Amino acid sequence: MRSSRPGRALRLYEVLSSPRTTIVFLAGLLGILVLSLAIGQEATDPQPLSEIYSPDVLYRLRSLGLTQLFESGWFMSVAIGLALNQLLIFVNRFPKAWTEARAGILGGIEAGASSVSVSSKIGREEFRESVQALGRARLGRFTKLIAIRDEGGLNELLLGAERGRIGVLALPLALIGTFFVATGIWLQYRGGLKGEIAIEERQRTSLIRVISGDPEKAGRWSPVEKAGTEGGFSQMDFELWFERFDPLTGTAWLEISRAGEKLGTSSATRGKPQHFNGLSWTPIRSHKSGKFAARVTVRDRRGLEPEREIEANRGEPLAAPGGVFKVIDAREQIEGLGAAAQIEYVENGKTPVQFWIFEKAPQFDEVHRKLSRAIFVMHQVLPRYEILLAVTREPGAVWTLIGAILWTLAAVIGFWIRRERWWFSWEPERIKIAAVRKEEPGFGPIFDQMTRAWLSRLGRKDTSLRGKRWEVRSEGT
Amino acid sequence: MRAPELFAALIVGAGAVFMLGALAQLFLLARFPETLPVGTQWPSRLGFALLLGAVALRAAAAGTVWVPGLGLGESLLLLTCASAGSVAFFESRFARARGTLVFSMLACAGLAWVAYRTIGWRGATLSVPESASEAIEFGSRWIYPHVLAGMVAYGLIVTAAGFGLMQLIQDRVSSDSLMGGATFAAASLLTLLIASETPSAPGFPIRVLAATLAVHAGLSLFSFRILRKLKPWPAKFLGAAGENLSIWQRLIRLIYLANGFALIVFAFLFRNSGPVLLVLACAVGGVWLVWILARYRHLFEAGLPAVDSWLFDSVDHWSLKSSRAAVVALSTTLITGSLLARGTWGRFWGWDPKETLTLVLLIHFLLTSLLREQPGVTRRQAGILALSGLFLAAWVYFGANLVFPHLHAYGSPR
Repeated sequence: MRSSRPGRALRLYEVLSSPRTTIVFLAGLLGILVLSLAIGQEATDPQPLSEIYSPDVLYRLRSLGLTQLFESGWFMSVAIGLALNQLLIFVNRFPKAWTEARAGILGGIEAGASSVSVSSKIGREEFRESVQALGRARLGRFTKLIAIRDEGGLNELLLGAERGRIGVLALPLALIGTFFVATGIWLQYRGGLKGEIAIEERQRTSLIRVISGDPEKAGRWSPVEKAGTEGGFSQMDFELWFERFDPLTGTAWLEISRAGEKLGTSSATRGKPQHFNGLSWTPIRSHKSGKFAARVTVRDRRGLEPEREIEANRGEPLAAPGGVFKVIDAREQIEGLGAAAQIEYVENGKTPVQFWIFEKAPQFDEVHRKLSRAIFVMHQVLPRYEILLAVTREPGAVWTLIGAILWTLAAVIGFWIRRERWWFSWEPERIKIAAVRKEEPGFGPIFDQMTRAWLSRLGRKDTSLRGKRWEVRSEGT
Repeated sequence: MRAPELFAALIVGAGAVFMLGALAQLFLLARFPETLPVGTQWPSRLGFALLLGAVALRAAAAGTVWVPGLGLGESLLLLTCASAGSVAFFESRFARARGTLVFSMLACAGLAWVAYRTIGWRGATLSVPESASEAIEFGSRWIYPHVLAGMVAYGLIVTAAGFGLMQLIQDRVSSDSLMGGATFAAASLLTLLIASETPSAPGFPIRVLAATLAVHAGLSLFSFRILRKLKPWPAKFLGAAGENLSIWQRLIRLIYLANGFALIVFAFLFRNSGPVLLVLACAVGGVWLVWILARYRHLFEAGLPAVDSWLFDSVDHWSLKSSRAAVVALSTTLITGSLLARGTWGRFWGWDPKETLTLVLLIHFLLTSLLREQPGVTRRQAGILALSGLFLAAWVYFGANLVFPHLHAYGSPR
């Protein structure tokens, strides 16, 4: 029994450091993603699971760890397994892979190599030159020809070359990428926050809807004083004032204050989020709230008060010469008349009167209400907007992004730069070319192409390889 | 000719070039099996150039507020263009392998037709976007590299599927199995499409279509897969008549083919009923194409170069290369997409269903690439993996729009 323990440990190490295990873990990751989509967790604005499933089903899902898949033991096992697998592959292969290549060439033609042997009467030096020329033309600059056996005279001359050695960098790059992604996920888990604020133009709010992340973990950058306030909203420790919105550019002007003290102002635009208090502020949706203001000029017929241009919100009572007025209705556009507003004006000691004024008829009020002291001129209707502001803190995002870029780079190197070993052998009556590229289907055409190019360089008219190519079965043949 | 007409003519022209190019390749294979083709790569290059012209025209019409891939018509056009570019690239690298990309070329022709039918001859939607606010929605300039990378990825997936199909054909997978598999893929996708989006055309007999499709899928399962596996079953239930399996099989296949023909007629009769029917027509056409390719596989086999297994190795090689390139393109799509999302929606990653499904697609092709390197994986399995990738991609591109609410505009009618 004792003797089997090292054997088991070795077996476990072999399994964990195998690329096949990578496939299993990736398949597991794929399964988790599909499962989470099927359960309904993957959505931009996910519907609560309690609204989708009955309590019984939800209880079962929860007990299986399927309601919070990305925080479940399943996901963590797969993620940790994948990272461990990559680390062990690296430990297992990288130092060997780096030094093995040259040793592989020096050891002679390997088993599994494709080989073509043809009769030839070319001289030793001519052979060497042709291989060097082929190397310069076809094998690329990472290649260096090594004389493996060169005893002169009629003895065998065996030259070796390799290319694509840089391909071994793929694995360490992927590993560094994994480290970055893991760090990013950890930072995000520790201090990430995602919330939304819905706010109307010319309004103030201190409520935020926290979508994900724990505001308490988000530390001093957290906008939230205490989480879990009623209605799914949390109270921020500062106030947000939405000054105005430009629908043409999508820009929102915001002001942040704490206990009446102004902390700063910023203009956030879609595509160019603003950063304030360690958080990003992005207007992600905007629409007209149904409220509006009218920009009007108020004049005193008697000339006792100065003329004023006022931005009057709907229903807001404002002072006018000899009384008060308010805008009670408005139209953004009436054909032939432009913008229009309905005003209610109460002159001191008189009954309220309601009337319309029009943008394209500036004299209308003056002419039609000759007995009124205040005269109104219409300019513009300003619809008020409501925006949805995404408030995020993503401390791990840049790390994860760098990790993803490193992974992609590793994929490019690993997929396209494959290590090849080439051997060229000369004997007085026979020349041979052999090459191997492991774990790569479809190397045959590349080998054939190179062989034909070489044979044609040697001046052979018949470069057909029919029946000449075979696989080397044992080393040294 | 005004810009909209020119725009539509470019798309139709590209589709015609692809169709004629594919037919010419098939003809050359049949007529001159021993001769290596000369210039067969030019139709795909010309088709790609025409589609690129159409995209450029659209971009010019929209000006600085162009949001590529907004809406079904434009995303179809971009998908066609990317697929054509991928086919043109691989054809230029792979000119000796005759007829290998016929499937992909025909797919490009079909896509061009669907894009044309969706956009329309008058090119009514040539000027995009319809309002400035739509342009503001994608304020980040990362939209361009994101869409480009995504389209390159989808183009590579179409080509990988073309190679995958060739792998199956070369591996002598029976035409019945190929057709059964293709029918299932098409039928399940279309059932979802039809179930989710009832065409708005008056008098559209959706139930009849759904029933026809269900019969089609059921028959394909029954006649091509189950019947073969359960040979004693008919004999047990049908007595003496069941002993002669071939009669039953032939009868069922006859009904199957008649039903398929009815579907094509159906698709033609209701060709103006919206994109769903167009996709249906293409899918049914695709199933028939698979059958024709498999039935006349000897054309491809006869045209093989004399070097032993050269083409087999090459198809394997390029199939793997296109899958790997798809991995890199999909990774780039996700990276640029996260940068776009950062500016537009205020977060790098938001578990939007299309984001998640693209990640699923990436893992699928990563798995495909890794599996292909394992010893013992056959050409047939490689072909199935590549084709299943195309099926999955079709889901991500079109199917997901109908099931999940999402933030992505491509592939969905507005």
